[in-house]
Amino acid sequence: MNEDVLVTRDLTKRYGEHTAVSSMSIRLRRGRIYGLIGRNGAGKTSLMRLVSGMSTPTSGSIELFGSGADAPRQRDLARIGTLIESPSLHGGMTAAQNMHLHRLQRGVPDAAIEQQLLELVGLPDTGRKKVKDFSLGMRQRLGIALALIADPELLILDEPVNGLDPLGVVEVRRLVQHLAAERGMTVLISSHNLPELFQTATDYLIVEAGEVRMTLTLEELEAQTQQYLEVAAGDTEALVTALEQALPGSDARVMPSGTVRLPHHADQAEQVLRHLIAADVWPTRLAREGESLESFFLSVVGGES
Amino acid sequence: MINQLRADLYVLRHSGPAVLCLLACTVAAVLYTWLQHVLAQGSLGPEAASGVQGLSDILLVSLLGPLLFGVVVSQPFETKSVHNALLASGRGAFVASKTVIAAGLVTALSLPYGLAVLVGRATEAEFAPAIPTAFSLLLAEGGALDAGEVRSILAITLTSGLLTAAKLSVCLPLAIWLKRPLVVMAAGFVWSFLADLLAGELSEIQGLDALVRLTPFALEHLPTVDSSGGELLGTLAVSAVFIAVMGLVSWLIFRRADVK
Repeated sequence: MNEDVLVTRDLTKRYGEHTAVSSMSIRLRRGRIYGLIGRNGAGKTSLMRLVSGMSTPTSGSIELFGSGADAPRQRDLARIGTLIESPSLHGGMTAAQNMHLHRLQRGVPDAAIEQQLLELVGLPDTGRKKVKDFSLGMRQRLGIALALIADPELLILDEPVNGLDPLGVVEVRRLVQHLAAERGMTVLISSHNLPELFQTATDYLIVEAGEVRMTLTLEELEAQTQQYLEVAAGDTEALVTALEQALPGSDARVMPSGTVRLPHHADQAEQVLRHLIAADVWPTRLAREGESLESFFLSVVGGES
Repeated sequence: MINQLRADLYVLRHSGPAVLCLLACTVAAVLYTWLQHVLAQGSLGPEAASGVQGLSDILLVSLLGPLLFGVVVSQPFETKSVHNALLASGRGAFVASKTVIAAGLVTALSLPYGLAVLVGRATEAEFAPAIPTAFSLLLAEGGALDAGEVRSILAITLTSGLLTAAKLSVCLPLAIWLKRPLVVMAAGFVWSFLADLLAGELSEIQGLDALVRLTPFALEHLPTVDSSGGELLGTLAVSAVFIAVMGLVSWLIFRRADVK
């Protein structure tokens, strides 16, 4: 089975003089959760619209599910679920009626899916309450349920945790992770909440000014943003020996400059110092280092903190 | 296409504006019929006739028809339900379903007037036409109401309804383009009166008269009490084709348009 769910090549979208998406080439693989990170107007929603057939590219190609086609075909689009900008809701209907409508539209025969999905997103018993009377969080939950009604293989969520309380945010995170792990669903998710995306996604696309500035996995992002204790001494060999004896399994890393990084002891400077002095190794440098998620993001997109 | 049609019918069942428009036409048809009876009795002066005209099918359908086109076609852009429609069935199915639903609904706006004619004729009361529309003339004609007459009234009602829907179907591409129900309503209302004048002028120009005859705006397509079955069928065909052409124009506009 082709593991590529979405491949874009030199994808560009212009609105008059403004370029919303500029030569974007990305590849999304099955069962992964891609966090789309970028400032307002960076091109996140424009990319999502292009992929889901809501707008047509100025140039470039979009290949879905390894179809070999240069543009999304209808049968490929039917395998996508979206929640872009705001949920597709009829305010005058109840949650159950909205679910029924979307099930009819998608031609899903199993009526039981309506209640199952409402329970999944925590809206099992809203009864006769009209959607127009729902809170923002309830609307978002219903929007996610609607996006899942046809059991999509690619789920596109634009700011899905907007308006959700902390518990709701955790529930959405667990749901997304469950869908990717258990059903092999690929999720493209955008959020302004960087720590939240950090906990949810397995891969990251950092976009700025319509361009993909960086793609990296969770492991790579962790490595980039991990806090560590940096230690230096006149005799590096003695320093490493002392650290290995005092802190076995500390995952100490010796850098080309001769400094040693301790990723699991960023908050234990005093304890490390005591061990080193006890071993008669006198540090010339002992400092907590590492980039925060925000500062790393800003360094990639070229902004200021 | 079938899934989209089923979904649109489901939305229609829960649509306040659609139910209200049908209700408004039903109430107006009842009042219109009753007032034409009062006019015939002489209890209402001729000067009141203009007030009665405000309840006629011409005015009501010209006002509510564009509103329904706007609601049926434009509302999915406001509720964002168009997103799901595009993923589920595509742009062609979306436009085709909206064309069928909106045209059918606007045709249905004329049905209360046809039913009011049947009821009025069944009472064998006298009626004076407030304006010479097909419904008023059918009502004023009087006489026994046999099965053939009932069939004829129903056929004229259906033809008249579809003809009006066809005239207003220019609201379809307008609604796809503007995506604002109230703007579509205003534009459609003005168009419904301008179009007949325009068609009248164009049909005076040699060479264009044949073209106008192929549209629902030609005077000869207006159903009358004397219209034959063949003429009604011809009008139905012209109306249906014109609606389909407007659907096609809508699709051409929507085919590569960006959806927000």
